[in-house]
Amino acid sequence: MTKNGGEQSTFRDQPDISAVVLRSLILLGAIAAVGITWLAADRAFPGVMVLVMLLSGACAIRPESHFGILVVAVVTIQWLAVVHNHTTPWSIAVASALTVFHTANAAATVAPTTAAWTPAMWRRWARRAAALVLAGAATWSIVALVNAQHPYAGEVLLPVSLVVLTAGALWARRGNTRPLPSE
Amino acid sequence: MNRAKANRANNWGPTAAHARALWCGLVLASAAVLGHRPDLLVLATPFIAAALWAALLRPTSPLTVRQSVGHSTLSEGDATTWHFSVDDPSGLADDIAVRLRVGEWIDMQPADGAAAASVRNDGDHVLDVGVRATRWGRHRVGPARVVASSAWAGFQWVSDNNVNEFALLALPRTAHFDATATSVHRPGLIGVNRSPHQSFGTEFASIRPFQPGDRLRRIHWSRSLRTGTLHVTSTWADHDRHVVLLVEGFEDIGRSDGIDGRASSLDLALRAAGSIAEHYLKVGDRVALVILDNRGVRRLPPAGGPRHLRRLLETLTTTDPTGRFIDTGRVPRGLTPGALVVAFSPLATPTALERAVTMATHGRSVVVVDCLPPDITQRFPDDPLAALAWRLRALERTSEIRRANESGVAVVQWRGPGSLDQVLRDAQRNAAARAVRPS
Repeated sequence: MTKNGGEQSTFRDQPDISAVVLRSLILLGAIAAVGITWLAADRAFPGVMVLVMLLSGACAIRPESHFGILVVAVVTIQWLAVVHNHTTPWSIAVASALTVFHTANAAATVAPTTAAWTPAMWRRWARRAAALVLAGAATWSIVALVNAQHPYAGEVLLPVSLVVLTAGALWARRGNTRPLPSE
Repeated sequence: MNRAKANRANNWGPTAAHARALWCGLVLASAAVLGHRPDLLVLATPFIAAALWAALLRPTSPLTVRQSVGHSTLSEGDATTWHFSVDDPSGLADDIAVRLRVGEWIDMQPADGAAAASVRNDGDHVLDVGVRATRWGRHRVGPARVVASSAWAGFQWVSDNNVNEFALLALPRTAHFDATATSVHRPGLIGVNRSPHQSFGTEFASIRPFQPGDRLRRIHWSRSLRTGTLHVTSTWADHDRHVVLLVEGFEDIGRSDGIDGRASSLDLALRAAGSIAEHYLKVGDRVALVILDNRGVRRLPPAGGPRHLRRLLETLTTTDPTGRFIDTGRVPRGLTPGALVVAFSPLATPTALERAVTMATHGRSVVVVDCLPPDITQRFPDDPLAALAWRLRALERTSEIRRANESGVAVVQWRGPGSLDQVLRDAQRNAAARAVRPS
């Protein structure tokens, strides 16, 4: 506002198209994850969709918040509850949708809504998101392959996975959730 | 900002995105193992990969931010560029975003001063922000909030907000003012201007018959031989002009929309004063400035030259209409007798004209530039009482201006170039009439 009450154009909060695209991807990623779960289960749960839409809407408004964890939790719980085929290829699609959701959510925090993204930023984030999707697909391939060769391989891998998870938890506690000490 | 806060602000800290990737990945993988659900491993993989990726590429050293402004002094409506560059010693910062904060009367391009770029792939110029001063005065540019993000926006670095604030000085926009009228009589005959009187000078005036006292080297021999009587070449006297600009800035009447919109009384006053000062200084005159505002009386002694114009414009920008200084109508001290005083006032009260009349009665040539916005009575569509009050005041002003005119004070509405020509001619005639009047 100007000194005398007039409107000044200095702080127009018109979001840039890049912010609109990223927030749309946040919503689309979450909704797609729920929809794909329905396709995998052949059943629909409108209540879950409403909940996820609300939570992802909150993420779109405040991408720096922790609502994203709730979205992933709801999608995962629904998946666990309704999908019983442990090697279904739909899991790649859900993983990809969650990747889009997470990537868009993270990307939305790097710049103000009014700032325009440069092509280099779009290219880098798209390349990395594609790499995560490929990682999910590779994991599904390994799981499907192991399951096809040795149906009880999962039982053998359990202690190994526990060791890996314990190491990961220790690493996480060591300092990845806190700022570094002052320089 | 206390020390702890400053330290936190200068370090890379984890973000909600990193926490989401980390905990979703770990919980999903744990659930996959504990629940014998390998499909959950597929869901967990992107999160684990993102968390590992971000953690492995975590920057450890703070960025060095450099900011600068292309030009610290501008004219109203001119633009400059706010430059921003960053030095990333670890080379692990991916994206950088800045948001420049500015004071009022500054427009930015992009509109809200926000810009983002890839640290390694985009050049520094991507983060440049154009700033344009839309009104005279000293404006704040900065500070800028700078946020750098690492891979996957896992860690972010936020700059300290309290550094690198620039002051941008916007000088009043001077319109080209073209006064063609000669000035009133001046005692000193040393300048470059043509006096209305014929005397020693350089500019040819006429060829006239010889009079006792004329120098012999002025004799025009060809005319003298042709006519048989001695003729001399007469010239216009050269002299300098001493102009005093008296700016009354006790109040700023009317809404200002900056250089692109409607002008307030102070806008009109400062732009007119700047224009007149620029004109007189360009032709070699000496111009003094007296500002009467809520900070008291401030003077800039008479001087000439482009540097003085810059000083004068800078002093004009310090006019402060906020406060409760009471204008007693006293004439400021130090006004040279015989100077041309150009006063700038919205004439909101009779005091300004009373002061002008007092100066005129003391032998000074006084011109008052009326800076009240011409459409002031139409600026209050929602407040009929205010509009009525201004109409009544306008009637009173008409009467006061008529009385001032009768006392030898010319009052002119500022209409840009040439506004003062007629007034200066009138003042010159009045001065000539006073000169021949018997004492």
